[in-house]
Amino acid sequence: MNINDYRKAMDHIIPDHALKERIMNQKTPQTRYTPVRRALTGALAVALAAVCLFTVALAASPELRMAVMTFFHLEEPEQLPGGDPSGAPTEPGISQTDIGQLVKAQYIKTDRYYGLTGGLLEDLTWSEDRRTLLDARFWEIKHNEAAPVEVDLHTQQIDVTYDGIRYQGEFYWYVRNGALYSFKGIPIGADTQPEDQWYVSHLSGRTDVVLLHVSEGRQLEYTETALLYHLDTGEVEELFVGVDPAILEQFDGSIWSPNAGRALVTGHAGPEHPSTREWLYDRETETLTEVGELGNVGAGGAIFVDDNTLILSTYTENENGSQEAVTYWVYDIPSSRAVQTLAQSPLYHKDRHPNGIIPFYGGSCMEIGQDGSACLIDLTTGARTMLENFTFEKEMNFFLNPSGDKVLYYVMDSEADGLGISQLGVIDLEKGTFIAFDREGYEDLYESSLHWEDNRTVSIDATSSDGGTRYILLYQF
Amino acid sequence: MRQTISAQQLEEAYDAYGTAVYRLAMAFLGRRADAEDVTQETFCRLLYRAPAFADENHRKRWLLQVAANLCRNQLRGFWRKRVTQLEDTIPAVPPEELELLNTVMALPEQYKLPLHLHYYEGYSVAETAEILKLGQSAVKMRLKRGRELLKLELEGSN
Repeated sequence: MNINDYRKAMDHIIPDHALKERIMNQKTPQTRYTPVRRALTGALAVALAAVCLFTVALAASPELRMAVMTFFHLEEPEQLPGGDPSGAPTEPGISQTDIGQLVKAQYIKTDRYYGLTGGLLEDLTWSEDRRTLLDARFWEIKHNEAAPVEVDLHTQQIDVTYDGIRYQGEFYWYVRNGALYSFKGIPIGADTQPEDQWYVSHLSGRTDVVLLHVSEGRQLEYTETALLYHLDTGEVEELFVGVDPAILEQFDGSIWSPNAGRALVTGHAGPEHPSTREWLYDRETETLTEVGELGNVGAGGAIFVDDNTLILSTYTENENGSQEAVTYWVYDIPSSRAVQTLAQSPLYHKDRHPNGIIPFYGGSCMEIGQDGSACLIDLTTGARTMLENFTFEKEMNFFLNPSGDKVLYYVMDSEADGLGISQLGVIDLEKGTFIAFDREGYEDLYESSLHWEDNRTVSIDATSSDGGTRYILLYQF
Repeated sequence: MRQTISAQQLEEAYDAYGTAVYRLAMAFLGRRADAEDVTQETFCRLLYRAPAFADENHRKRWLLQVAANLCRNQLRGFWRKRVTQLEDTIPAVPPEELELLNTVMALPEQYKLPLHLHYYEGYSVAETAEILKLGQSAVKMRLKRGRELLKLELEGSN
């Protein structure tokens, strides 16, 4: 890339005139701001009280002693493919290995980009405007081969009118092993029309319906809502029943509980509400509650743990907007009861604060001690599990899977090209295991992304150093 | 809360640095609504919490530092996780340049801000390190990796 192209492109990005007006009219700061020193002083008092209580409880109750999880570093390293002079196959080529008899690794080698959805490799060909799927081929990964597989691919025509806008287009879906998978084209750039402003997301365990997210407006007027779309009939159901239309107009995103009974909704800032707003919506009672009012704890954000439970959080910032400390509560929605599970704890910062909390943005987090010791904290109970035989170093990173029961662990080599993943592992929060292995040969690959492919599979995208061969590296722990 | 600068000073600061703050937020977040929220919050903090600035460069660096922190905070929220590409609402950008912007958006988070501050805003490695509160070696490493990844992605898309 010629960096001048980036400069030229960035020159086109200019804020809307309305933004200046909005800023000049703002009357109140957006986020709650608690000076760090005052907050920490308060937290210290709370912590001292908690220590006293805990000491008493520990003496009286042996089961409250901290649990221990042992870090198991596999002796056998992974030997990565790469630097293979034989060239890439025109169709996906597969090889696999077991690392230390505990981790199954599969290496998919191709000459170009292939997608991976629900364990199937996919090669999708789109029309020039990227609205229409012209061809789709799928392969199932079996042992050492990629076997072509037919899927019952459905084309779903969308023709839905909401708030005066007619949304049109099509998306494609199939059901495999009881799970629904779908994809749609992404119309490019200036060709995008108002009717294109929709996308689909799934509800866990449901193969009969999807969430159809429709949006309208741009910039300050951007709004988005979700509708329940029935795949068999094409009918849509409104989800935010009973919500004041004036508030509904502020919605710009929603995340739904697994059973779609409740949603966490964000609303954009505006002249009257300079803060980005967040609500909990309950479909059964048709009520909308500001997250800050839940349990009367003044939380700034929330995340679903399950259908009935939220983790509420408040991050304390310093005067420069850098997050310094965090407080968590577990909130039981049916009883409206919030219980604090972590009080005003300093956040870990790689360069500034080498001990503290590493958030996972789910039902758990990790606390790093001054000596590099680490313990997991279950934010639904406050219970701690010490990681034995493990010393935290700043090159280490963690990333929770979508269902929140496994944590990806990886170490990046700062000298390597690309991501340079030198060590990979998983903490299984349900099984209580933490295993990791070293990787050999990553220097010969250019690793560009690392992510959870599904709740139990870790995926790394890579290319050979000459860029001619692509790899998808899959790991099941 | 008491204002630390006047409305006129706020307007002057926005006229001078509003676009830079907004572009930084767009480079990192890729979505206009989010970039506007970060820009508004940045100037809100200038209005209510501005420290004493040594000079205009100091003021601009402070604004960019606040914006960078707010971008990181926003990206940490789960709302951001589904947004991965620059939204397609910039009709004035020629397609090839839009593709370059999208390529930058697709970079891992840690590379976007150093690249933008160094190559677009023209800050030195030391200044970029100060704004992002990183070590200079970390900034150099991220610039190196970011450059390499951009090259890789462009090759991959051809």
